Amino acid sequence: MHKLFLPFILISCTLLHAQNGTFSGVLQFEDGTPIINAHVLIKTTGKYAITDFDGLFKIEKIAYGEYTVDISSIEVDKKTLSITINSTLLHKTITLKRAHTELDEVTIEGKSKATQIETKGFAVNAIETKGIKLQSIQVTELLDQSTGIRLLQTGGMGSRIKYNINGLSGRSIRIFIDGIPIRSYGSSFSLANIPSSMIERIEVYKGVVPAKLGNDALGGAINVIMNKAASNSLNASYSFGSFNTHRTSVNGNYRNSKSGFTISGSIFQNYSDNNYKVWGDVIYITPKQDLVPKYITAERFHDTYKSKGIKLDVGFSDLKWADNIFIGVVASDIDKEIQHGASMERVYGNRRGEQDTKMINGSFNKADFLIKGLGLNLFVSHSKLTRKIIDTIPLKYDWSGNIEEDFYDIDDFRDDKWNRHKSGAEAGQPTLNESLEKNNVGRINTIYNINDNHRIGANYIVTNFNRDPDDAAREQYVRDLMDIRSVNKKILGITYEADAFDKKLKTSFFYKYFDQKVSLKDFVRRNKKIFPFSFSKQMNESGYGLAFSYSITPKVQIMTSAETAIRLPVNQELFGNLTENILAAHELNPERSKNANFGINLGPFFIQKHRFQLNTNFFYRDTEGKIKRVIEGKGGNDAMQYENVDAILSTGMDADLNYSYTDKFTFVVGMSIFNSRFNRQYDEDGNEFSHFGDRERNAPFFTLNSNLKYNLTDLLKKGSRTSFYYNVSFVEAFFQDWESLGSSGKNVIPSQLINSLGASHTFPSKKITLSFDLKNILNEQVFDNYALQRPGRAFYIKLNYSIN
Amino acid sequence: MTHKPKKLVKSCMAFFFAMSLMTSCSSDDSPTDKEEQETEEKQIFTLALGDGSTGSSKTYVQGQTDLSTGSFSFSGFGFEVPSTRTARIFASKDRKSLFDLDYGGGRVYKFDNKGGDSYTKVAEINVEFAMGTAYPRITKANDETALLHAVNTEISTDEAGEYTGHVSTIRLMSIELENFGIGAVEQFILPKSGKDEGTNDYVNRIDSPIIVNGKAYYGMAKRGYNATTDEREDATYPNMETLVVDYPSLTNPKIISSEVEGARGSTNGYRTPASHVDEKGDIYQINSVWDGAYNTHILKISNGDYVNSYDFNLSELLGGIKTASLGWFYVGNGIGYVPYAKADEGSPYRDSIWEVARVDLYNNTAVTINLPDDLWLTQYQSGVIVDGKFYMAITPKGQSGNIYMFDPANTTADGATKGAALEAGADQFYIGIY
Repeated sequence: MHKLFLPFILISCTLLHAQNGTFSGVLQFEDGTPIINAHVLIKTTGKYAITDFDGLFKIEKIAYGEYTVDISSIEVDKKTLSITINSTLLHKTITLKRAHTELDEVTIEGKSKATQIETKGFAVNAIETKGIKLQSIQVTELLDQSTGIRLLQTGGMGSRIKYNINGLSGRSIRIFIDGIPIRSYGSSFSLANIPSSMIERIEVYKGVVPAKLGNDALGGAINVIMNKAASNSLNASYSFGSFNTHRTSVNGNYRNSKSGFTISGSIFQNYSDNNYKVWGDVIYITPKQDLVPKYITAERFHDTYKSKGIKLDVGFSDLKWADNIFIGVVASDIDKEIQHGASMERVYGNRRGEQDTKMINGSFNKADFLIKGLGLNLFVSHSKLTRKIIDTIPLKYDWSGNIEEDFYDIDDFRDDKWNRHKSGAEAGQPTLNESLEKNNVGRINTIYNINDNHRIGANYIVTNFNRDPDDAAREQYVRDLMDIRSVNKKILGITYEADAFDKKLKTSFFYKYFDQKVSLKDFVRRNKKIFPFSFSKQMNESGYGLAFSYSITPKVQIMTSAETAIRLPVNQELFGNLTENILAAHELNPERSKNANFGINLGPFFIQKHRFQLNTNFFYRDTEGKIKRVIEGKGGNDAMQYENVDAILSTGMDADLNYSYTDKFTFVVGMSIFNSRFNRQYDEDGNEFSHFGDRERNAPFFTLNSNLKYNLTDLLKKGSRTSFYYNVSFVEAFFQDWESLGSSGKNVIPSQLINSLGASHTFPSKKITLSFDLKNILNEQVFDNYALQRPGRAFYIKLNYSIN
Repeated sequence: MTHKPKKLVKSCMAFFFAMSLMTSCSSDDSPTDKEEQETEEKQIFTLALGDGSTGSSKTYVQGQTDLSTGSFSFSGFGFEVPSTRTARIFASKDRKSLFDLDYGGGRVYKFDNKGGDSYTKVAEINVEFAMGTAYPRITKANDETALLHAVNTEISTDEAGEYTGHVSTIRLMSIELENFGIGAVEQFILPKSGKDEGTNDYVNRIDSPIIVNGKAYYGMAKRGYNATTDEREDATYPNMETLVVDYPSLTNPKIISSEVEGARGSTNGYRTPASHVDEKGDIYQINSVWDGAYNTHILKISNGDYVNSYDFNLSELLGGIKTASLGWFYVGNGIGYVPYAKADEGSPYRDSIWEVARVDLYNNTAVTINLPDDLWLTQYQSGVIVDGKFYMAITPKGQSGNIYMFDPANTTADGATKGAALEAGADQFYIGIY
């Protein structure tokens, strides 16, 4: 063994040695009441745990050996004890004396996983789902309440969601599940469908995205960390509420401690009629006598949404040669009615969509692979997605849910008495479009600990995507016309991390290399004969960045990160689309953005039992060559083409203030302001845009969210636990079009002030929790997009059952 | 007065301020209203700007009384006309009402024009369920009436499945502007003149109707279809044709056909009207040829038929140049103004190659008026006659410009003088004065 590596091995072997055990236990006072929120720290390893409401704690993967354990809490005197780990599990009940005097100040050195992520230097929100698991709250709602991120949704359950991170949205934002692009999982396994009980936490990178997330994210990324199978547990929940909404989920884990055999499964179902009430400018019926619109409050009648899914992982954990080795399957599907077109004025009564996805995957990870200090993480998957659109009935509906009679009707015409869409179906030509997508993903993620302060990591991900559409409602020659598309992406990310000054300074440098090949096969029709043609384009691009964090004192930390980010053009942008009259644009370049963040984390500070923490993040983004669709007609026809023309300069800040009083009361307020401005001054002819410098249209720019939580024990019965929350969120109004143009009658997405509250009660057995949620208490008319109304007041109850 | 509370909405505070301004516009004590009372006799003209030349363009309007001096801008001032896609607007004769078809939404609105940015919705009807589409065309066909029209085309085949032609089904509707009530709604299969025989032409669009002497005349656009290849083609256009129906019943359809040598093309204009009636009750109609392949003619229709002895050949009168026009404006005494594109220099649809010519239909003369370069008048819709002069909003593509006052008495190329200044930027264009 090389001498240079010896100290490193001594340190890291505690983390990485194969012979590992678990230290668990319960902390209690002499009267038997649990000690909550106490820190249990294994000295020399840095491993720690925080006791839960029952005083329980668990520290896993402790290498065999003798250790000193520090226990600290506001409520007890600091206690030190010695333990020996020589079996897979050491369980202890530790009884401590109440501290007789109030301590001046207790320093809690441990950091939760979320806090650890937030202190690496990136501008990131690490959102733990713990707080909402018992409530009827979706992870999408939790994300929406998080600072710097805003979800723009077109309707109720299952409606389209656009993620906006500090002003950038759409293709600029990439979403991952455990570091794998979510596209491979299919849209039926989306954030809106996955129950919160399957998710451990969500990381939202605001701007600068680390290299371990392999995709061309220009404006930020969302990484969903799924629960890892650990201990034996079973958890089931059912929620029921307004709009005939039902959500069910069951999660179970089993691990055989002798063989390491582990099985983990989750199953979920979501259903809603989405029959909430809508009203306003575009919600009317048209009486046949005078055609004067009669405005009504309408109940949505064709918006049912069903989704279900299953995830099953089977494998082994904590083996000698593998920390985890698993084979998994994911299957999910959606069945969805479509109530209206791009505007609520276009009412549909028959159009619907279906999707299903099947995925199989394998994963392997090992902390000391072949040599000590080398971590290896492998993932492969294959998935098949089927997407269907069913739209074959041309009858016209109005908001009463009735089909419209034709105002004018002549008997000897092909027409009957009903009004029909001329195109033959509700949203265009009749369609039974079915598209089949196949996705393959392979990922190697490795990290090598050079020594305690230096690490080098590499992430290589290959994704391969193919789409093959078909439409049984069309004639064969049209079916053959439909295009086949494929995208191959190879993305290499390399990260070098160095810590210095006693780990006060943490630095991370990264480099990303993109290799994308997109191709399209299509056919043209000439003289009733079919001629195939194909396009393909290869692109190689790279980006790089860095992140620093420095702890001036343990309570004052500054962070900064910067990146040159890119977003590669996609198939339709490069090759156009014959049916939509979009011309090919092979010379299209990636969108580029220079992103920078600067943040300050203060705290936590304690004043007796009061705890304060303030996190602030400032950002700057200079985005150029944004891809926009422009008119490119030569000679009478209005063909379109994509060009790299637009520019946006975005600056802003977000801040979170956390206050808590022991574990009883917490108050969080978060605010974000983004000043995203149109930054293209002149058009190609040198003419100045009158809206140069205008706030980006149709995008929110100011949001506030505050959340108040109160926890009680022994409310109805000794040993029970009750918590209440109240959440207020505010979004400032914004214009649909440029703010500087015009002054009256402007289309506005009005401000929102949404109040919601809820409570949960856990019975003394700790197995059953009953909760309720009342959302949008004041029945405020809510819009995220122009004139697309979201649900009003809603009430939900939820029953949770869990055994650990 | 100045209308430049530019970048008003700079902060949240300013935003709320702006919102309160918007809501207070309709209240009685606002300065705009007082001003209006003092100048009650003055007409309030509507100035309209289009922003964005792609499908989702927005239309803004503002009411102004004096078009000859001052400076107008839509930065921070003007009313956003409700529309799903580009709005189609026109004004009542007294200009106190503005009408708007929400193209793609299917509703027609009537606004009270109170000047400035104050336009109040006073009535609306949903024409979608009468027209069968949210995409009808609308034209103010005389001072009292707006006509709506839509064409639905289908391929017809014989028993053996062989192509026998296209069937164009026409849906027509009239709206009384004063009471904003429905007039007639009719549907029929378009008759054929026989002139198209031997070509692959069929009618796919009608527009720019005009009501004269108990008849409504609709211009028509055609498209070609090759049954052998099943492909769309350019229409042949052997001549110029018009659909005539009885008004107000909108029944008894027939097609009238011109016999004037060389006068070929569509007769439905585009956004600019194609047909006007003079003081004698004769209709003058212009042909549109997108690529300028045929000369630009103005033909005369009298007593329900083309007058084949009359031919006004604009292209030749301008010196034999290649022109393309999408409509024209009539002032009086046979004088009119024709926006045209120099079709040999580029695409009339896309390129800023437009000019305006003064035409004298009675004396067969035409002259191109001196105006700024780089004009794009493809979507230009309307001008107004004030004290015998014709006013148009003329801004070079993507730039600021002026209202121009055309003097019909001036027969020279210098027959237009600058009026009020107009501010515009990239991808913005004035669509008209109403």
